[in-house]
Amino acid sequence: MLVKSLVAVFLAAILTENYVLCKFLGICPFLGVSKKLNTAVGMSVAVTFVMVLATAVTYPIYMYILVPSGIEYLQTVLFILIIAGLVQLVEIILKKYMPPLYQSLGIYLPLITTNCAVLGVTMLVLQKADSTTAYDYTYLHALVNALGAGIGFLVAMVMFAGVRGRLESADIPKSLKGLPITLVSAALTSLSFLGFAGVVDKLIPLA
Amino acid sequence: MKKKLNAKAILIPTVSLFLICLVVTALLALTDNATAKKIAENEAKSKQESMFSVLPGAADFDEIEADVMYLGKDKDGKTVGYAISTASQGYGGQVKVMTGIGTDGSIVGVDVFYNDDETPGLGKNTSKESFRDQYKGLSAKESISVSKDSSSGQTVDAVTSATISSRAVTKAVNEACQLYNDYSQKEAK
Amino acid sequence: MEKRSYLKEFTKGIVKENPVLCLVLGTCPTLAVTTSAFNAIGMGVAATAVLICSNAVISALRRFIPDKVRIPAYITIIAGFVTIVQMIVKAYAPAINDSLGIYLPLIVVNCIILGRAEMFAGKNPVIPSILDGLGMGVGFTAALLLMGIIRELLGSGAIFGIQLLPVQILIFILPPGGFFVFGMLIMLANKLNTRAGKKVKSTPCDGCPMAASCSQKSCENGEKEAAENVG
Repeated sequence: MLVKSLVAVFLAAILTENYVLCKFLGICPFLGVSKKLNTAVGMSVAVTFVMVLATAVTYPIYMYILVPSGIEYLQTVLFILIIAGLVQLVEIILKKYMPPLYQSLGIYLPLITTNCAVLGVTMLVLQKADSTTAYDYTYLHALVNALGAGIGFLVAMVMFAGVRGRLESADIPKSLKGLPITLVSAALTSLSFLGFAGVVDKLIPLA
Repeated sequence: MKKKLNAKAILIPTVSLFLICLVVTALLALTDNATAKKIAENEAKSKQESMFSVLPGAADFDEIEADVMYLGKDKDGKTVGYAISTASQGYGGQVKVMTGIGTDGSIVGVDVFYNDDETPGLGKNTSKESFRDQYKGLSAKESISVSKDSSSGQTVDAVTSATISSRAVTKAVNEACQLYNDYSQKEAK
Repeated sequence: MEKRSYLKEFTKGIVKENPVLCLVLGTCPTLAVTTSAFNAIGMGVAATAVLICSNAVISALRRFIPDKVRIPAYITIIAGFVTIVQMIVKAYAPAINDSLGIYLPLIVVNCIILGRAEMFAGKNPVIPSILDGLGMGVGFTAALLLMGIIRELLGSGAIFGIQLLPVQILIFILPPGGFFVFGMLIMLANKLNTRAGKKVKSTPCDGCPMAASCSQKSCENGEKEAAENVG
């Protein structure tokens, strides 16, 4: 049951609840950094890392400090500061101890603070923990959910980088050049994700 | 290489940031104090309205299980039925349903009082009367399914292109019926 | 300052520097909550309230906030106001809170607000900052409302819940419709801008407040660095 529900949470986060294409979170990097495949991958890996780390920290803080003290209203302020602090910390640690990794991921870190997908994940897992009735939504589920959200971001970015690569050589009407055609292709990409609706429920039925 | 640590350069930003956080926290606590009661009232009110809408004859409600099951009474104190609040996972998030079950064990009314995470124009249509009224008169003893999934037994037709949301509502109604059955069995003993 | 320039601070956000259609900021809420005109207005008004308050406070404190911790200080102030607005909405307009859901607290990371704090309120006196916030907020709301009306009309045949068209093209309410309508609106804005002889923004990063520390530029620089390292 535990493994089954974990797999369901993971797949749902990637396919049916894709943060970029279904929930519209993290659109800025999606449109801005998806021009080339390697930057898209670098950005996504950094986002995934921060998502999991942020959830790992914020979930217990909310559940075991904010809720018992009745100060849930500090959630937004606290979470955004925690994320900002974590990003800084990771940047410093990477710079000092893992220079090669910093070279490839470090440049993406500063902008992750204001990436709404990260703050979105930390808040949405709490909502899910509150609303999931079919099984016990635990800390582990929250972490797997965050990982899935990050991988979903990666999948969307990589797919979209591929689509945009094709656009480079296409003959596009002048007024559509740049952002408009990017958005139209994003529409088509997200259309493909609509097809996943309900697939996880059918694949892994949880009573 | 070594940077000289200037106490003032560290202290001033730290203290000012700390002060800002302190003031913000104080302001939030103040606002929370002012609004918390109203927010709780709103939530209770929306639930109560929903309870009255699924049990038309009821004038007053007695709590059987807090936030889940309520006993509805008419003006003379006679039992008219039960209002049961259940929730299930829909397409975008939680779907909260209030089910009214009469004393004869049939469903009197169903109200979808929270489905804001469902898609507008699709899943949100599950709160429309044309869909909800299908549950009226069905028996709480047997489980209900969406006609797309099963053709036998008690069925309701799903909202077009919103099978998942329709299933979620049906599941919540079934859960309410189950709670009702468990309760009435316990009472009978 | 003269009266005319006050008026200018207010009106620039509505048309000339419209945060959504010209600066391409705040794309996430623009796409996510515009499934109906009502949602669009709710989001617009909530964000405007936060924008005006945070602009006013940041501008008033601009001499006291040390430059080093500028961004965290701004974020704290903005997050504070977002939470206050959220609590007020919950108490007095619960329907809006329910329909905006997670996107209400996510106003914190709406780049329009941090952007105005960094670009305007941190450098200007209080009154122009308030007007700037009001103008940008109105521009944001107007753009959201436009998106909301188009998507609701095409997607469910209604505006503000009033049925007008017999046909429903559901796809406009679903995520792909959001991207598509937004693309078409940007195209229109670009066309009008080029006709007026203005420069067209090609990426959402151009107007982004974090552009200096992030954006494509730094990514491209990073690529260059990486290439040099390999070489």
